[in-house]
Amino acid sequence: MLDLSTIILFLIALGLAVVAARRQPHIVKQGTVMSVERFLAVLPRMALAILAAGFVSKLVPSGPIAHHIGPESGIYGILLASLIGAFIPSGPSVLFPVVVVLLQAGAGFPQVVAFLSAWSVVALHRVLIYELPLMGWRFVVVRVLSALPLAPLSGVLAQVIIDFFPMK
Amino acid sequence: MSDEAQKDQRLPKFRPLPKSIDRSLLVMMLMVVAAGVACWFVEGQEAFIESFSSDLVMMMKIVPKLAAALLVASFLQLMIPRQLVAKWIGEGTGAKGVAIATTIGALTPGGPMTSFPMVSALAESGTGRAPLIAYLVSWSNLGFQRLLIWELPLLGPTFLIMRYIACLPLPFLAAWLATKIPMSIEKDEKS
Repeated sequence: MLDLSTIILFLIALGLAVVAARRQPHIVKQGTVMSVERFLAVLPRMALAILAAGFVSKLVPSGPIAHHIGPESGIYGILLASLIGAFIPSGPSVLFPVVVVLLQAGAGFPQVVAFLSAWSVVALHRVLIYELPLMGWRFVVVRVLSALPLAPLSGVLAQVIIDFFPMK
Repeated sequence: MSDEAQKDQRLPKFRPLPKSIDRSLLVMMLMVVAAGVACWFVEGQEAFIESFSSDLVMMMKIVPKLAAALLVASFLQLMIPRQLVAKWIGEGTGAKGVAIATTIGALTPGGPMTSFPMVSALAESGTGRAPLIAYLVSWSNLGFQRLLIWELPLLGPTFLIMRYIACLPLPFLAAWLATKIPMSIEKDEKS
């Protein structure tokens, strides 16, 4: 079950461990313990998310999704996906399975890229919880204004990349 | 008596749920059960089993990838001290500063509860808006941790590389736009 990207990751981890062992040996143990703890925390979440995504993608009719944010939906789909992404109030454990469902139901790659960008960069839920209290409203206004065009732009760039290098 | 009192102080008043079974996990379990039941009754037993078995195959593929990704993420997190991160972002100026902030942002592990206090401290110590905004965009959009743990296992390397190339200009663009907005980012005094 090991593919190339997994092997590369293990090799990078090994390299980092070797570097750490030379400079700060305690990091090797600390990092391994940390990885195991996170593994145990993330794995049940990921398993549940995958199961939910699988069932939901059986239930969701692919017609509307493919119509609104499918590969043929163009700039309209990119804008729509950007708008929806900005308002998704969840962490990665829910969002990435949602993306899996969207892709299975016929969403286009550029539209999904825009969706992910809006969720991560505009992130209105994060604004309310962290950014506003810590940074003040002026910073938030400047940051959100400069972030607004990013998601649609990343969708358009993704479209250009796919036009040059067709995937699948 | 004093021993008892000390013990009381050390032990929490009531035991919270263990971290791995906290509330969000319970919510997700309910979602899975609801979606599973709906799938069984609406789409039939066959669709349910087909979905379940393909999910298991997917998980078998993800587990080794997740393990490797977490090792890389944890080692990097421990090897990059936060003070150094703050120092690097604060030092650069102009386009170079934005490029440094973008690189550091992509390398910074951790969620918003660790990043925002640092950005807030940097803003107060006079770091310009361009590197700060480039840092935040890069950290949230190109951050290696989320990418390794979630995006690579669930969406695969081809999608990831395509998205990364499409999103690479974003921190620079955001930083440039931020400098064009005629507004101070000074925090208002609490009134």
